[in-house]
This record gives sequence, C-alpha cells and structure tokens, in this order.
Amino acid sequence: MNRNDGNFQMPEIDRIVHEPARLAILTVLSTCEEADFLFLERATKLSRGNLSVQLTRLEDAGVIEIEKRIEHKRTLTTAKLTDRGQRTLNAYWESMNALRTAAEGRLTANAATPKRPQPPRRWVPAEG
Amino acid sequence: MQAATLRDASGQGQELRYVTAHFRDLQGLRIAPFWGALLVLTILEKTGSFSRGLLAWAAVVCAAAQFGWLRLSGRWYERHYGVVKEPDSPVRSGLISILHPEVTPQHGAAGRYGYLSRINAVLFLIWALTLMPGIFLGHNAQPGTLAMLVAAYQVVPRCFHPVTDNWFVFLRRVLAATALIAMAGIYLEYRFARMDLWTWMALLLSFLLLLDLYDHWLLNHLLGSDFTEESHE
Repeated sequence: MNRNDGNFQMPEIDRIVHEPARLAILTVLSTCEEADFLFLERATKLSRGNLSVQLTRLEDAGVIEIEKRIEHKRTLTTAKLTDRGQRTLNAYWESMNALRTAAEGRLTANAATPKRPQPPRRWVPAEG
Repeated sequence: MQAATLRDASGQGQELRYVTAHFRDLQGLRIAPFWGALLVLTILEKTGSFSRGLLAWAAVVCAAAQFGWLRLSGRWYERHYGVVKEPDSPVRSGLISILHPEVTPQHGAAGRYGYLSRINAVLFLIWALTLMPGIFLGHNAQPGTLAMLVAAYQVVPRCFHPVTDNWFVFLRRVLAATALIAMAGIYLEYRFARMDLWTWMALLLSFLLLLDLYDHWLLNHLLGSDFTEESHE
C-alpha cells in the first residue's frame, strides 16, 4: 500500500488505541460494564507492571475510568470504558475497517492486473 | 499481508470478547459439584445400597447446600479469575433471550450475558423435586420429562453462543450439541420404558457434569496463567 497512491488516503489511526496491549484492554472493557485488575491481567496476559502503566495511560487520555474500592476486605481496582472511550474505540474500528477494505481491494486489483514480463536476467559467469 | 494481520487481531479480539461475555457461563465449578452429588445419589439408588427415604433427604440437603456453594464458588472465582460486571441494560425476557444470549460486539455492552444465578437456584430446587417423586414412585412418577426440560435449558444456550477462531471454544458448542442430541435420544428410550429412570438420570447428570467441567477447563485455558507479554512500550 502506498501513501502516494492517488486513490487511497491513509485513515488516521488513534495511537492511544492502536497499541496492542491497550487495544486488548479496551476490547475487554467494551464487552462489559466494568472489569477488575485481576481479570484484565489474566485476559490480556500482561504483567502487572505493564497493565498498570497501560491503564494509567488510558485513564490520562480520558478513555477509561479507574475506581478503587474495598470489597470483602480486599481492595478492588476496577476499570470502566467512558463514553468518550467508546466513541474513540468505535472510530478506531471504523478506521481499521476502512484500511482493511482498501487493502483487500488493492490485493484484488493487483491479482487482476496482468504481470509485466520480467526482463531476462543476465548470465554472469562465476569468477575463478 | 495487512489484511491477514488485521484478521489475526480480529481473532484475538473475538476471543477476548468471548471470555469476557461468557465469564459467568464458563464458571462450571459453580454447578458441577451439584451434578456430581446427584449422580452419586442416583447410582446409590440404582444399586439399592441405601433406603429411598435417606436418599430423598440427601437430595434435599444437596439442593440446600447448592445455594451456599453458589455463593462460595462465586467468591472463589472472583479471587482467582477476577470480577466482571455485566452490562446493566434491561434483561430481555422469554425464550428468545434464552436461545440468543449473545450480543453482537459492534453494539458494545448492550446486552446481558449468561445464566442468571436466581434462575439457576430455582432450577436446582426443581431438579431436586423431580428426583424425589422418582425415588418413591419409580418410573410411574415420570420425573424424567421435567429433568429433560431443565437439562435442555442448561445445554441449549451453549449451542447458540457465538464461537471464535479458537478450536476449544468451537469444541464447547460441538460437545453441547452432541450432548443435547444424545440426551434427546436417551430420553426417548426412557420415555418408552425401555430404560429405567435411574439409568436415564445417571446418563443425563453425567452429560451435565462433563459439560460443566469442560466449561471450567475452558475458562482456565482462556484465562491461563502463562503470562506472555505481547507488547512493551
């Protein structure tokens, strides 16, 4: 795919969402009302440190809300997708779908275009 | 190549959505011990080792203990696998919601997933009550029909849950469909009196036990503890 192609414009990709670890977190949170740290850790298979960093970044971007409360004598840290986060995620998937459609269209077009005949390779005698 | 990468990412996303959406459904150990206990009771009844009155009381105790176990096992799952709060949207009622518990991911958190604990609790009670007339009256009580309906309620949704690219998730549907067909076949055998009540009950409970144990295994597999980080930044 070529950025300079006249027929194709690269959609803008949200870098906050596009990072795989954050995308995994947002995918989980978009499927439920809220999830706690332990579930996110197990579902995304991230280490505690990395998960904590990614959650903080998402919270700083206003995409998720983090709440800490005490339940059954233990601290429960839960994360929840904000309305803005839901809109951001939807916009991201629309961009990715546009990208996929464009990529598949390009592949189909390339397959349909007859290949140019390759110039014959010059034979170079081996040295020695 | 980009399209293939996107498809892979989409497959991982599907798996994440699946395990989140069916987190409660996959908690098989909430119910499996109950099926196990009833299976033991039916086997004991078939072998005639204990009096029927004793077994009837044991069935009642099992049903009562199940209410406590639901709460305890729920806590255990929370401690080991975390907490997922389901969407607060209104619960759709009727057969449609039973047959189609899934929600399309495009609409986000716009549905409620899985079985409701209260419905399950009532079902346990019904199940225990279906056993007791059978204990005293045998085949004439026809408790197997209600048992079949209760079992179908447990198994049918698993045949309709959306599947992902993960083979083990697909296997869950295959197992549920196979169990349902087998249960229907065995029920007909029982209904036309070619099979005794206790063999029918034992087979039914075995299917339910296996399905719930598989659910627990699948949850453990999908939320495995082998933390392999996929990205660093």
